[in-house]
Amino acid sequence: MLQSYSEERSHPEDLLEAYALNALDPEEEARVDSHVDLCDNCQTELNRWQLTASMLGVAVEPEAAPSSLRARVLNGIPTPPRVRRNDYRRLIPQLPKFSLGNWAVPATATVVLVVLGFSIFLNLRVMSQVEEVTVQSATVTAQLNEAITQNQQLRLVNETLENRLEQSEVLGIELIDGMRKMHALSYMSAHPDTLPVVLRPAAGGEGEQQGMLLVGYGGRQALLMVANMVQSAVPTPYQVWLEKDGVRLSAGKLHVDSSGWGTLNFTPPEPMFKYDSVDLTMPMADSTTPEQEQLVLTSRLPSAGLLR
Amino acid sequence: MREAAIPGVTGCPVVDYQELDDRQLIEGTASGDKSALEELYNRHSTAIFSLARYMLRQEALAEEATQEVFLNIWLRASSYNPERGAPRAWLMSVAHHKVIDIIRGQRRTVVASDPKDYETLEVLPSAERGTAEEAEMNIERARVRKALETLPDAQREVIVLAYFQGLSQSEIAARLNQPLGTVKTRVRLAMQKLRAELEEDVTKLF
Repeated sequence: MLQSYSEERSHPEDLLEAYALNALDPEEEARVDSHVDLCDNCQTELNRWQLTASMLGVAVEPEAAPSSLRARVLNGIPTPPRVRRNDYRRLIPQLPKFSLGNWAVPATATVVLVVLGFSIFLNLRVMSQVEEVTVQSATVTAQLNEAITQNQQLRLVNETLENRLEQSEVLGIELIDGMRKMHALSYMSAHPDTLPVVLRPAAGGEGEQQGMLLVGYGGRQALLMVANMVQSAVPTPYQVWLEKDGVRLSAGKLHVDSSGWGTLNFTPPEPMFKYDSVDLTMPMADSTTPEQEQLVLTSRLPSAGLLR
Repeated sequence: MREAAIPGVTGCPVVDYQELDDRQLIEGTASGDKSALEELYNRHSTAIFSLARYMLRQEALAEEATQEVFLNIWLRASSYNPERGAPRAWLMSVAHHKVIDIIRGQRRTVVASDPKDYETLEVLPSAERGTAEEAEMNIERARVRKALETLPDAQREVIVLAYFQGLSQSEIAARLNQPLGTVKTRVRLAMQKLRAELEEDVTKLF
């Protein structure tokens, strides 16, 4: 039977007398047991009732127990295992008595030999390990040097590639520039109003230099193309001149490539038909004025009537 | 005079167990001293056997009960708390509890169902004992019987059924065909009167 919290907590004062008589039902007896364990007042009261109940046993007329019962009772009592004082020595392993003269010297010698042997063994083992570490260190050093060499080679390759890349970039720029020139050339060549003017080597000139000037847009735009030009050891641009009434006017510098090909697209200050000629000169090492430069190609420009 | 050395301790002076009181003997029993238990048997076996014999009404059962009571005393002596009761009260309580267990366990009607069985307490032959202690016990026995006689019949009846026949209050109510509350009230009133009558004896005897 389950008990409510209040029943468990309340003092079972009305059950204590019957408890002392062992006359409670099991549930009530359990309730008293659980309560008196925690309640000193009820425990004290129960002790008093148990004293009274014990008195009832005195009312019984005494009757001596059979004499044989004494032996049965005492023989039926289990004997607990006990350890007598002398038994302790049997439980503890006995150590041999200490005698310096009998075994101390050989024991000490044995210990010293064992320690010495162990030390030698340890030393040999350490030396072997040191040699092994040295070999490993040399191997690692060789591998490191090899890695450094490979690194240097890689750096050289990298520098070469960088140079080639720079050259490629220069070539790319030149190619783009050439493409632009070709675009202008093709445009002016195809335009119906464009007038071609051939430049010829100057009198006394040498080589197979050739030049052509395309004049378009009513003389306001010009494109000069040269071929078979001689390139000096030190690349030096040619100078393009427009001459009018004996006075030269610079139209720009013309660079030629290793094959002797070069172009210059320029816009003259005045329409081309107002100039008398176009000249291409090469600066000399000691020249200080345009007149001192070597004339390479030249051509008379057509009159205004030819330029529509 | 019976003397013995304290077990497990050599070199100690010899102990006269007859000089020890019951509390010391219980403590010795709790520590595993079989001689202490033997002295307790010497002092209390008659009272315990008599109670068992009276309640069980069979000598063989009473001997078996007495044997189990002293085995319980041997095993539970360490649980005895002097602050909670006198040694003899604890011994009789252990004995009564064991006998009750036997009665209820075997479910036998080993005692008479006559509510006036308490009267048999008076007709039991008195032991002829010459010692002063036994004479004092005889006096106390007479006082307890007198206290019982002073109870109203209905209250004396429930005490006898409960204590000496081992019936619970519910079983008493069923036996007497009385409400359980009535039985409980009679038990409480009877115990209160007995305590009032025996208070002095309780203090002196236990």
